[in-house]
Amino acid sequence: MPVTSQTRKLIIPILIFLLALSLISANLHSRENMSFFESLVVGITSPVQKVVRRIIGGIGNVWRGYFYLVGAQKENEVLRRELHELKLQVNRYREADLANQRLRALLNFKKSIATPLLPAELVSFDPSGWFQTILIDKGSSDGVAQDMAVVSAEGLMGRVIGVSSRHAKVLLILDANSAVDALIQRSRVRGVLVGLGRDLCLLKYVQRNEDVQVGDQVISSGMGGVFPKGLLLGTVQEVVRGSSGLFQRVEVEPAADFSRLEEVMVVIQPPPEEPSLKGARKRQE
Amino acid sequence: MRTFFLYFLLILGAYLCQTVLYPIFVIPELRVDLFLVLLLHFSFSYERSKALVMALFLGLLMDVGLPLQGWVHPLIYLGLALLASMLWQNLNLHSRRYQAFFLGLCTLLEGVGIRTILVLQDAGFAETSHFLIVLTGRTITTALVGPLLLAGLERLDQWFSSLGVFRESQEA
Repeated sequence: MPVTSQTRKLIIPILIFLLALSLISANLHSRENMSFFESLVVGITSPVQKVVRRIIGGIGNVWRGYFYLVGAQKENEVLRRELHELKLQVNRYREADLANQRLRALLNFKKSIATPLLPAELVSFDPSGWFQTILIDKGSSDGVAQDMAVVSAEGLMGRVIGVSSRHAKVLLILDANSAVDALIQRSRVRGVLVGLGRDLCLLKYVQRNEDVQVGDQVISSGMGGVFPKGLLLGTVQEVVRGSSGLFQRVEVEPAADFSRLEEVMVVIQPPPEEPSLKGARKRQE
Repeated sequence: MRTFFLYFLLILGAYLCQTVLYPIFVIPELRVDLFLVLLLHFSFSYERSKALVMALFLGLLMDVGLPLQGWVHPLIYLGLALLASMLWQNLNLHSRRYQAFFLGLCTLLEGVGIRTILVLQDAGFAETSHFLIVLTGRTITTALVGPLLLAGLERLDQWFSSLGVFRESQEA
């Protein structure tokens, strides 16, 4: 009887199934040691498996690592952003703290003098660079008027030379056009403090025999009616008594730090001007 | 209109530099007068009438906040704009070297001009020695930096032109 193709198709799977069953049955008896066949198969396939595993493991690691890094990068960005925000916040707090200190100093200063003061903020400096003027953010609508004194916690800054409704132009005491009637606090020697156009002033018209020493403090005399009396102007930095001439050269370092100007105070009501002092004011201007 | 707006922004930027940024520099005295550079650019590139109008405007802007009486900067800028627009046709001011020299000269004239006017007005001014030091420093700085700024403005003008902004050049 000839074997048909259908029977052959059925016999082959059965034989393979029986072979597999016999191999499994044989292994059940010797689990601790591999059979020859098993060892052979493992011996042949294991290097390839290792390579493939390594490759797949590597890809898996890269894959997992990539997604991990993406997550870490996002997390890093979030943390960076938070850190940046916190830094900004800390900076704001620090700035607020410094402003608080400055304003406290101004407040204390305000309490220390009798005249009413109006706080103002610096807007800009002189655009040309040849003068020592500033613009502040208070003007006539706030009560600021021409010739009002402008002060800071450290001392006198200057006077108002021009006003608009919202802003005022201030001539600093450093400018060569500025002149303030002044006193040496210790010896009460009088002079006129004029600016030199840089971070230095000159106390003019101090006679040669007058007592002026380096380190003496210079204050406003109150003469002229523009500046309140007793405001600190600066400290004597150098005294030069030439071999000739009526006056000595007294250089004064201003008390206020003009390079760090931020807030100033405008003396709203200048003291009433006495008729006898008008002459002195004319001399100043 | 677009040219006007763009130059308005430039002038605003220059003004902010002059009034807010310069004073915080380490040596604020050694500044380049950006208005002067803008003015010379206008004088070199545009009609004289426009340059003079610009000189007037920039001068008035510069005088804001200064303890000056009268039109000090407008007068000086008008003079410099006139000089620049006249010399542009006669001298080779295309050359950066000549521009450096001319910018330095204009800075010198500007400083001396302000001082002269103040002396005439009997107003106070910085000590002569200090004034001369600052003026020398400024002249050198402007001569060094000014041509670069002018070159930048020329590039900007080309960019304006490429945007389709109408530009009337003296060369044309």
